[in-house]
Amino acid sequence: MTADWDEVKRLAADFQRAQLSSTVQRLSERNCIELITRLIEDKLLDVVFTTDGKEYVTPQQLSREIEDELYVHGGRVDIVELSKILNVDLSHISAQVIQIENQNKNVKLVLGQLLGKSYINRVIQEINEKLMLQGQITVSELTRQYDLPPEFLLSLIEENLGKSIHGKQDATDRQVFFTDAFLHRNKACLRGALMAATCPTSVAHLLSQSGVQQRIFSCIIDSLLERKQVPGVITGSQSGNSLYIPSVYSKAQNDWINNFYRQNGYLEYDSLGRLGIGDPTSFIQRNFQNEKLLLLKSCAVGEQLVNQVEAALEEAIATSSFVDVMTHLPSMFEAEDCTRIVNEVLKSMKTKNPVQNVNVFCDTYVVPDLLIQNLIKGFDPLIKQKAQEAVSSGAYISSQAEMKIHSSKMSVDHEDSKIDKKEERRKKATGGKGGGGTQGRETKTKSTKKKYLRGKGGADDWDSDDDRDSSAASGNKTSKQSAGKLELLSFSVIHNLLAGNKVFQNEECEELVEEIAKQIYPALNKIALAEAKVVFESTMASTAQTRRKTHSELQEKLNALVSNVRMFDKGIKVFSDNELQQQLSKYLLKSLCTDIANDVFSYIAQENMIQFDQSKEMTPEMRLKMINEVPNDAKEPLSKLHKSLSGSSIDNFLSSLEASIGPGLCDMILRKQDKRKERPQIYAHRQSLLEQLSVVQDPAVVLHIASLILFQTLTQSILHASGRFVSNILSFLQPQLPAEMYNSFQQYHDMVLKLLKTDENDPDHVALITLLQNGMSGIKEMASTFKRPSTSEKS
Amino acid sequence: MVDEATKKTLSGIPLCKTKAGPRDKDLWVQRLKEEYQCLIKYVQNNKSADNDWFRLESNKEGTRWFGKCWYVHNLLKYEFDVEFDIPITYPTTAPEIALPELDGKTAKMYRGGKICLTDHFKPLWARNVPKFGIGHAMALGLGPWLAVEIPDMIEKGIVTYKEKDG
Repeated sequence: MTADWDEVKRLAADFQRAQLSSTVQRLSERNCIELITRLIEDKLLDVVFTTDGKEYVTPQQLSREIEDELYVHGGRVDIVELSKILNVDLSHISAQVIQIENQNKNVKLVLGQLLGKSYINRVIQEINEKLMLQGQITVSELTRQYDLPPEFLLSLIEENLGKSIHGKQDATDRQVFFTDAFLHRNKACLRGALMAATCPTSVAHLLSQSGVQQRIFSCIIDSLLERKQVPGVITGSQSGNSLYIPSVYSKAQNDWINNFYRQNGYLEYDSLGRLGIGDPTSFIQRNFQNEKLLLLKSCAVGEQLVNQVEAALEEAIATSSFVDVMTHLPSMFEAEDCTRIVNEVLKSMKTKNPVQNVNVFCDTYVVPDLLIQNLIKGFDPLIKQKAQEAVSSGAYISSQAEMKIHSSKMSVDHEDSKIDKKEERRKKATGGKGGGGTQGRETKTKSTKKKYLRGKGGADDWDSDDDRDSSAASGNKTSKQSAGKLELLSFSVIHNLLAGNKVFQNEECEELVEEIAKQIYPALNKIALAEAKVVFESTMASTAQTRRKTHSELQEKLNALVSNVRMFDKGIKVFSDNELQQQLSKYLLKSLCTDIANDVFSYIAQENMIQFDQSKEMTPEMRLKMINEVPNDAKEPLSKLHKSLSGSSIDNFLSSLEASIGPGLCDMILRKQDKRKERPQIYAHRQSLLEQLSVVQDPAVVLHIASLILFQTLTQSILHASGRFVSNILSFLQPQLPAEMYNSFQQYHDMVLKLLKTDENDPDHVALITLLQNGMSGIKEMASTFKRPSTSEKS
Repeated sequence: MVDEATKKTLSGIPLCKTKAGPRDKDLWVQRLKEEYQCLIKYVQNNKSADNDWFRLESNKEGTRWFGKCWYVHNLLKYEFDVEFDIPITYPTTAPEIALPELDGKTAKMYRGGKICLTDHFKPLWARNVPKFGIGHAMALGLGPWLAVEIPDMIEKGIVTYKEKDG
């Protein structure tokens, strides 16, 4: 136990001793690192850390190690690799390497690679071997092989060229090197290929065939050309699309072209193109500088051909016939070319002889003006005829009217449209007068001219449907002409007539005829219109003179008729029987008044250019139709007049008559009934009746007239009545007639009635006729000699 | 768990074999012998590594230990008294090392200047009963504590350098 405690005591003492013993004086690792860092900082020590920081290397050792590594690696080592192998930071290595490179001539630093002299020598040797083997070598190839920058390799090769590398540098491409043998081989190949070629061949094709590379081609070809060993020329730029043209070929080509031109006098671009000439025009200009060639669209023409054409044209002009230039040119010529030739020829002809005027149709036909003039002259008779027709049929007038309407429509937008409208209205109102008509025509002709001018300007318009339509419309004489244009000669008529002309008979020239027709169509129509105008004016002049006469004549006639009507009306009023009066009035209206009305209507119709059949009696339907056609302001009075005819009032008729012939319509005045004239008029009437009486032999008429005379004698007023009213008249006159006279009249009347009732074959008929014949003289006698008893007697 | 340097030091300290506390008469002597051997070895190790950092001695029974420890910071040596008792339940319970000078100067300390050991220390100790002894407690407990706390306190001005005569 105590021993144990002793041991504890001993151990405690040992512990104290251990604690009191001095600590070992030793530099720990971190102190060492600190110290060296301090030394390096103070530049007292020059060492390099290893990457793990545990070792230090002096630069001398490092550079020795680098050189050793270079040797170990066969003369070429990557400095990154070095840094790994030597366990030293890259920056120290590269700094060291630069130093080595500076000191040691045999070492080179290229792109992070350290190259030793031995390695470089080996590379040069290898390059030379390769060059010998392949005949040709490129730097890029070597770059790929050695993984070295091309500049370095290039400088390397250039340095050793002729020394340890036996070859040549390409003149155009510094990167390429080849041997003489290679060059000679290629040259021979190419020369063979060039010799063999007979037609233009692209250089690329040649090269692919001969196996010569593009890049040495230029070098070879230059030397070959220099020595004149190439039978041909190289055209085009040096880039791929250049062309080799053998001289054999170009010679053949030139020969062919020359021969063709000598023979035919022209050259076609197409055929030149087929021979492989890319730009025919410039080729022709180059090769035929001495010739005066006319360059057209598809071919070039020599003087020879042009002269032919010129001769043909001159002949045509001289003989005033036409010529188709196409026939004088080779068949492959196009119309466009032909036109150009013609133009050229005409130009040259004009400079020689400026008088001639020539038209060109369908591009190829040349027609002298003279011929066209002749053709137009051929239409003269037809034009005259058509103009006459147009005027007499009224188509001219209606077209004029259309024109007027058209122009008035056109002038709506015009700035002084108001004035125009007013003028139009005035023209319409005075349309019946000659003056108004002339004005209207003037406006019309002006517009027509414009129309034709326009037509000439744009010759193409002549074919348009619009014109066709209008021509068709005028052909039908309807008033549908769109622009009021009057076409006197239709296109087809002209065309047919031309085609029939003997000038065009021999040849097939349908198109030409059509073109000419088109050309002269407006001119002809213009002439025709002028002709129509002349015709129209002459007719207008003649009618204007007669018109004034007819106007006054009509007035006279109307006045006379009206006064007759008035007197007859008076006579009717003598009858006391109302019904009889009405019947008589109706008869009067139907006969005399209708005549008057018809006169008025026909006059107005003439004034307003309304068409109607003058040869026939005017029927109520005709009158109605006319009313529809007359201008508006005349419509109302005329329709009133027309209505009054079917009524039974004479007064009504007279008033409406007065309205319808009044100023503005017929400008006529009905004179007031003149009392002084009345008597002579009655007397004249009686005289005419007596005259008739003495002439007529028909018993019925005799009785009729005799009764009228008696009525007039007894009542001093005249009566207009038909034979139907004879019995009424007689019964009316009975109280004033002597008894025996009345009886004889009555008897005669009965006999006449009986005669009218009996058949012609009746045996009584002849007897009656004889009886009547016998009594006729008595009746005549009585009627003419009967004197009215004096008023005093009567009363 | 423990940093590399500490591990290295630990491996240099021989382990105890006897499991006995101060109450076990004969066995405690045996244990005490082992403790001394451990400490001697540890101190020798420290000295040879130029890393000596404490002086310790005990009473006759070896139940109370006292001495000095120091820490060098910025080339200045800071020295503190250190003392602790062997607990009754030793070695199951680790000794509570105390620095009475620093009592109340830092939060990492119990009443009476007992240092707050790291969270790792206790389970580590528990797992190594009875192999760990006083030397281990010093190396694992006080050493790291000083390395962490003393520079902090010096920076805060709680501990100031005072020139020592000896």
